[in-house]
Amino acid sequence: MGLLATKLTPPHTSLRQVFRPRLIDLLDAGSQQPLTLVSAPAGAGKTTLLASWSSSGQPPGPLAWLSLDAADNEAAKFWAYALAALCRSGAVPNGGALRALTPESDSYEGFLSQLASGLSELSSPVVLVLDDFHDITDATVLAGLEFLLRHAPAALRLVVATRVDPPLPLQRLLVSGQLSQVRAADLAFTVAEVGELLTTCGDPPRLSEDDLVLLQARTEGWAAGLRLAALSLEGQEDAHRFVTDFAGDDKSIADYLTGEVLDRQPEEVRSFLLQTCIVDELDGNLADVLTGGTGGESMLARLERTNGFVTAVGPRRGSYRYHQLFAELLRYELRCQQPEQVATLHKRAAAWYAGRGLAVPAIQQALMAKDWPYAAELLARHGPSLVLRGDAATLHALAGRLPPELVQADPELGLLDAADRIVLDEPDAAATHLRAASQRAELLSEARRGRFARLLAIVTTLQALQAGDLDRAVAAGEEALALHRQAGTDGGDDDARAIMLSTVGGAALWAGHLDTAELHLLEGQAVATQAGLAPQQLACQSQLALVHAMRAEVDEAARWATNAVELAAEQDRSSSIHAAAAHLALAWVFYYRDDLSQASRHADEAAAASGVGWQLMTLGVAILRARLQRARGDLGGALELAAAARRDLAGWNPPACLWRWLLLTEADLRGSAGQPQSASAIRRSLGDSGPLPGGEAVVLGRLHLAEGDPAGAAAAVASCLDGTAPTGFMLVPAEAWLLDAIASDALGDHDRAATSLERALALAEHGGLRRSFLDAGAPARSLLARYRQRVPTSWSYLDELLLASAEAAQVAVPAPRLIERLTEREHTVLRYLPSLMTYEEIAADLYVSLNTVKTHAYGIFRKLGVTGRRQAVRSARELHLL
Amino acid sequence: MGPMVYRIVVRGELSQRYLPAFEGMTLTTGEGQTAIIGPVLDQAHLHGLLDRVGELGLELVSVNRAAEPASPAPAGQIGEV
Repeated sequence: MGLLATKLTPPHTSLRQVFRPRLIDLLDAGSQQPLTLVSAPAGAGKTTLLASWSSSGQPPGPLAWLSLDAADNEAAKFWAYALAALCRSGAVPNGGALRALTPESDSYEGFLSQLASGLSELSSPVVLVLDDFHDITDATVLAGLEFLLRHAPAALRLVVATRVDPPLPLQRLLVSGQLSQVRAADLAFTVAEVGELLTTCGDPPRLSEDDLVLLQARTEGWAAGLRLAALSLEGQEDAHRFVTDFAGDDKSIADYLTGEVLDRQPEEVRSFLLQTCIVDELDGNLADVLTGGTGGESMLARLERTNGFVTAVGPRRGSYRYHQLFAELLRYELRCQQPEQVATLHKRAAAWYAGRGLAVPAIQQALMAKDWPYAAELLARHGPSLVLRGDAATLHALAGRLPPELVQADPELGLLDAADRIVLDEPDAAATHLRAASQRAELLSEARRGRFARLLAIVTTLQALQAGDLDRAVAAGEEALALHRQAGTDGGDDDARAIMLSTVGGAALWAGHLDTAELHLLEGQAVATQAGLAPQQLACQSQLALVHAMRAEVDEAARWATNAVELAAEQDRSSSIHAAAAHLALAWVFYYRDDLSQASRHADEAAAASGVGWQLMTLGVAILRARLQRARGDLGGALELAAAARRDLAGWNPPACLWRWLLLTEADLRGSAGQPQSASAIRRSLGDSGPLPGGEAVVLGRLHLAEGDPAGAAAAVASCLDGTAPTGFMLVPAEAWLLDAIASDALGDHDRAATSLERALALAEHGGLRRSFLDAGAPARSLLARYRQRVPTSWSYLDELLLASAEAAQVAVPAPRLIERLTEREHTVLRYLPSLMTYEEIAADLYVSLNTVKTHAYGIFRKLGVTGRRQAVRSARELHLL
Repeated sequence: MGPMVYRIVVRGELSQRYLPAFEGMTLTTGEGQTAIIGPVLDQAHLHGLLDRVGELGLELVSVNRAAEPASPAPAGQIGEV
């Protein structure tokens, strides 16, 4: 998420300000309290005062500044900015805990606790100024601030400037002496201050004391009104007359004075103001585009110096912001005087923003111009980037402002909607949108059709992948690749390329085309890294981890997977399909290294992270879990898992390679369980489909051995040994050589057995593949014992394996247990535990107190004999309580 | 039954400059105040109008639901009370 530096620095003006020590003192004193509330209507001078205080006041510690707007009314964004402001203030030392902190949605409380403790560790209190707080109404954000006020009152001093008293526990804070306030009455200029304000003008008017009193009374000390009055008074012939007329008039102050001020400006200034007021923030360049002239930069500088309509913002020169109140008034003046200009100006602004790649302001301006087709076109063009950079919520909000008929009719927007559904785990809704969108494709203009076709291919691939329809996924993927190659390198379409490569790579992976998958994913990873697309980096890395895991390339798999898991946490995507893929890869890594509890843990994480929509992942995890049970010595449990997986497949068409893998796994288990006939039956049902991919050949070999057919076993793995077997899942050369050794031994060819065994040992040791030997069970153990003398180069490893193998033969599985039955209320809460909801959210959903939920949760933990939420979910699942 | 008619009174007499700020409403001035009168769709609409008053730095004097329909002056004009 890119953060705007302009929001993190106090606005600065070169206009001479009135120094108001009484208010500075109020703030100095107030900031000794946890909360200082500066609450007053628009134009009362809150921001000016706080900016002034930030440079000349004496706060109790470093000052962090954050200018808020409506877009910050959401927890992730708000806290990202708040943290940035705190780090910028100089309060946080390099390497301090707060620097690394990021808001995470799966434990808001945890984040807040860390923030509170991080703040308490600072050497002095830090003052956080939150300007324009009235836009913040989100309950989560407010709850977070309340939390901080309660838990870090010494370390954090909030200074909140707002037009509306915020929904914070003000009464409680007031009563306990923790709230200080600066309100409209305090901010109102006194007669003396009015006099001073007028002296800061370029050409100070001469007013008597009585005039000043009149002026103060009429404006009631309202800063904006006084500023306008000062402008109106500049160069007035008869200042006294002006004041008396003004005082006697009943017109609304701002109305009267705006009219006065605008009338007195030279024409060029007047039209400049009216034409540029439609944007909040601008520089000379944008100003010129809007006015159609030149000299915008110097005009802005002049305005900033002379009348304060604009203030300079941000660390760099040249950026200005209109005072909100004046901008509003100018806009209404514009609509009143030159209504036909409004749409034109907004369109110019939209085009300027679009030209700079600033998608969101461009679309906002197009919407304000009520130019729906243009807005839709911008949305369609920039939509994918927004989604890819994790800003789908903004996309929705903007699309929501288009007339609904337009959105439904627009095929590209429909496509984006489909993509969004896929991300949200709604495959059926996605398919519907996809169909509807492709049907309307002819409505598009020539220019958009190309882009639409490319995007359609990508989204189709993704949707097919999610539904587990590998044939369609692979086909759509090839089309996507072809279309992209045709289009050439369309600069700026890196986003589309990255997502295409990661999606097509994914399709190849699950279809068992591991080498192709690796190629696409490596390229995708490179493109994504270069374009700074973190979500696509995650997608590629996690899938690369799986590619290597499927080839039993344990070290590479571990590297990619660990990286991917970290990335997922950073991006707050620990519950995504990609995190699931990374965990599945790690599960295989630990399986091969014979660390079964870690393998099991990662399998659980994979299942938890993937949700219900992705059948492929569910199947992948099931196969691993069956292997795991077998490794623990629980053949019965393993068979149950395999059978259950087969039943679950009833609803969809799994890809052939996965289906075969599942069947072979089951056959393998039956072979080991002493059910050779069932094993053979399954094997025969797979038919004879030509050369077998490597992994299947190994399992087949094992089945032959179980049937007492060593010759058949040797024949089965022959293609693995000479490298002619096509690649596929779980081709583990070490296993093939081991099988050959066992078969050769059974056939009496002891020399060959010895060489093959030596080869197998070398491969397993080098690759960290203990499990390959242990899975081969008793025959392997016997072989190792008898051939020990004949493989001198691998004695130490062989001994290790012998020991592990012996232990494995006596392994007991610690089963999850239920110490005491759960109550009905506990069951209710238990059902919520696998979700991402915090305890507070659960409490709200159940209409009970937070304490009640916590009590139930702890009850659950105690009765399951676990210590945490995740373990509880795991045990509950294994006990079929969930 | 149609939308309710509300009468929002603010301090100060507003000129026609403010008409675009309160679309669909009439502005009636007199005695140092302005009455913004017109049909209000629902509570969200009403709060939007009140927010607008705040944004413009106007002082809110009163908000009432009118017993009768709006004054004869059609929407979008200034009338004298």
